[in-house]
Amino acid sequence: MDRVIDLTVNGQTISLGVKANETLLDILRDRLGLTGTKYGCGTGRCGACTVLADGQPTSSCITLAVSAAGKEITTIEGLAPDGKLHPIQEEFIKRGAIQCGFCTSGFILTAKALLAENPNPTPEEIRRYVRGNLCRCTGYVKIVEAITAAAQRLGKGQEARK
Amino acid sequence: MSEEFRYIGKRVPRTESVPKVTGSMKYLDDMTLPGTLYAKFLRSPHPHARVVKIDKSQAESLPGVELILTPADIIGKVGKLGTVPPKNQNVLEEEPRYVGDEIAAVCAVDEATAERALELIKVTYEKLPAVFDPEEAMSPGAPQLHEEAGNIRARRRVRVGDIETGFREADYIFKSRFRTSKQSHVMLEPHGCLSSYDRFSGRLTHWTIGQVIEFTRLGLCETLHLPTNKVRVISPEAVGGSFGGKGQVATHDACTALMSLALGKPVKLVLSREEMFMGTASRHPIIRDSEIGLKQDGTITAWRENIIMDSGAYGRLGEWIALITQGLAPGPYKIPHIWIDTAIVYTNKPVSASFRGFGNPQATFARESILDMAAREMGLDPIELRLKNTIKTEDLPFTTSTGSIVRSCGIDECITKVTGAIGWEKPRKAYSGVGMACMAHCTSMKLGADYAAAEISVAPDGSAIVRTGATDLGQGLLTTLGQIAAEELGLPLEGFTVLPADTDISPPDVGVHGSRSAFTTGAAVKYAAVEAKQKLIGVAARMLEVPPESLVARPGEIYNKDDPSQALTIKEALRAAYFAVGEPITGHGLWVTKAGFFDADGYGNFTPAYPFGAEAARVEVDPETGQVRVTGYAAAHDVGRALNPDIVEGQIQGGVAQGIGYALSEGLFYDETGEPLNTMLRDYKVPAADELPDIQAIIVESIEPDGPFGNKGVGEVSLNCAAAAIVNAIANAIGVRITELPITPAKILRALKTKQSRQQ
Repeated sequence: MDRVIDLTVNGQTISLGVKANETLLDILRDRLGLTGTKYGCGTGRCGACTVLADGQPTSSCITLAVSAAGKEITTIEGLAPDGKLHPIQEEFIKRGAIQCGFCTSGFILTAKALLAENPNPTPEEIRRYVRGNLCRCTGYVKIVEAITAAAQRLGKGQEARK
Repeated sequence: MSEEFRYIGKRVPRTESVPKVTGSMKYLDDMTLPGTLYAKFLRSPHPHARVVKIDKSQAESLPGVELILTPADIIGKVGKLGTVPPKNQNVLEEEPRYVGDEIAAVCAVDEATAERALELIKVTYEKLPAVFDPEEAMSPGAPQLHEEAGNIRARRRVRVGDIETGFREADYIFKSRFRTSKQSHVMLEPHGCLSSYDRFSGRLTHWTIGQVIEFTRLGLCETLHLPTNKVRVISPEAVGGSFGGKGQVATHDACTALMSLALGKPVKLVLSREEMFMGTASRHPIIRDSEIGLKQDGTITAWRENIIMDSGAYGRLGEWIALITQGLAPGPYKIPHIWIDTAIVYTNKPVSASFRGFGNPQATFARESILDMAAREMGLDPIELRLKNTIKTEDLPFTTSTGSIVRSCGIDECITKVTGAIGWEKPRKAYSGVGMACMAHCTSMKLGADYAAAEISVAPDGSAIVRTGATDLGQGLLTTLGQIAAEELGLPLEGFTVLPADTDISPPDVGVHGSRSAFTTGAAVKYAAVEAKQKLIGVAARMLEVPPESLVARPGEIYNKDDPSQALTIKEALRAAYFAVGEPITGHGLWVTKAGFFDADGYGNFTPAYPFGAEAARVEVDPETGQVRVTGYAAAHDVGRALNPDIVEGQIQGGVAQGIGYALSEGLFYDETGEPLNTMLRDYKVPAADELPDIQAIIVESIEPDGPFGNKGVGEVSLNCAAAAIVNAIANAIGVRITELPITPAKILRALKTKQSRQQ
């Protein structure tokens, strides 16, 4: 009943036997020990399970593992593999944009995709883009400030990050 | 704001930031133990029933199922849940009282097997009549949930002054009925726990998400008849939000513990989002008949209310929430005559319990709506009407008519700043309006007792460990406590580790609630730091051969104030303490409340300090769809002193967001058979980023004399005002008043239609 798939996560490709109904979230957390991606609702509504699949924000809780085969999956753990924080991560810290932190992984990855697409977003554009990521702690204000600050830093070319 | 401090008042980044942004922080479900089993609940599909028979034989024989618990397995062996009266909830129910009530629990090798097993359990129910509306529940002939007659769990009242005099003195009297909704916390992290019984040591180690670790342990021990020293309850290092949602011991704590005790293996249970909506506590819906008397000039003379609180299927903290919803009814105003009656009533819905605000959002909604109503009818400016009645700084210390002793108060500054920030005077376009609301809150309250303890150990290298019984739920408490300790000790903040709560290690604390922790646990931490510092000064005195009274400590050094050349660095003093003199540098602190409590007539200084606040909303109403957009929001809060402005602003903004959700979209709803209608995020609407404006947080500091550094409560203050501010802004925009939350488009359209037909 298991299917063998090749999964590329944070730059590493692994072969895994997965069940047809296993989600990408299950695989990441339970099989690969990458617990930075969270279960918040299981219905693709809260964004806590957000990963990047070929650079696109994706709800891993409603993505079947088999459909992630052949894609480049980036989780929060893949953002600063050598320990040097990405500007988005740094600005989240600096601007007080983290409270409980449960939504943080999802927001940071979504923001990364946003800034790749739109390097200089207005606050309204940011809010619209991250509307699929719920936060119950911050009211979003400092999150928008952090993403705006990160955009400015990346835009200045000070850190040439992909 | 705070020039004289090194850390207090500074925007110190949270100490747990790096693990949170890199995904390495371990929340409960991220923790694994070898051999962990998984548990799932079987829940009642009926709002009221008796479980006649449970046949678990087929489920038990499913490969991978280790244990199935039913009420029959635990009757006589296990007590009622919790330590707080009325204690009328069982761990597993033979008489489920709401759709979702836990009937049985399965333990299996993985969640999927547990879920398959649930489907194989055959339950025979005898359906019982149910009631869902509290007024119906109180009426004769209604189905009875518990032993209390008329389903009335308890009554509370306020009798202050003479209400007849109050209304006689009034030139205007206004009355209205208000209804509020059953708001769900919707913290991002679902509840859960991991329970591990070790047969060799005979000890149970229990990790759980919760705000009250010590009393979770006591509750677990009481319910399961275990000796307290054999049970260790630990808070995970990070919790994904709580907002009052998880206080004491829950059914999942008790069941996993029972299973682990029976099997000798770790058992984990994590609720699904659907279970969070249908099976956990939520805010008391309230029906309030509120009546106000005012003089011509706007002076409030009288306040009378009849309040019905919908407690849901069980009793949990209702009496304390009743006392707050009454006790804070006067808000920041001087009201001489107050008469309130409150009834707490059972209905066949999930239990209502604590949620950020603890009765004050409901109280503030009614009072600030009716004040706005009065202003409009009397032709008074709503801002001037507030200012006419607020407690003034010249009055301090001020004892209110209900016995609150106010020692710091910046409400007028909040009102002025917030109305300025929202642009109150700006010309408004059609269908747009502004509204405001004010509030007073508390900083802790006795839920029985009220205390906090702390311990500090300073190492020879100047770093330190701080131990308290308080949990960080995401509000930045551990960071704040570190700031307090580092400030008092004069040591670098980077060297401080504030440990998460662990009953084996932490001194007791009644818990994180009531906006108390930075004030109460913060005070305990400060006292512990003071004691450690005194010991260090004592050591330095012996080294320098001077009396301790001559010595002064400042960051990095201890010196003789009469001869500053006689000095030691802190590090030298510490090394001497540990390696020469023989006095380890540790400190203990205990804070116990000096506040009182409410008497039977609702009189008493029930909290050590009162934060005040004012908020203002700008809205746009679409007259065709009835949709309300909040296009601007400002919140000004007198928090005494902001220990960390980033944290305080974040709390204010987050509370406002929840308040806006409470106002416009949130509430759990049930059909006429008691079936929950919205148990998914698709239908329970919490505000998303593009549905909220930029929320301006304004900090006002009145410097509370009793706060450890002049601070008072922050956590709950900003969830109280939004509903009224928005309702008042809508009234300003389109001339209709909504008195029932949430303010749905349908209600707006109905109100507009009624207004139109009246005008015709």
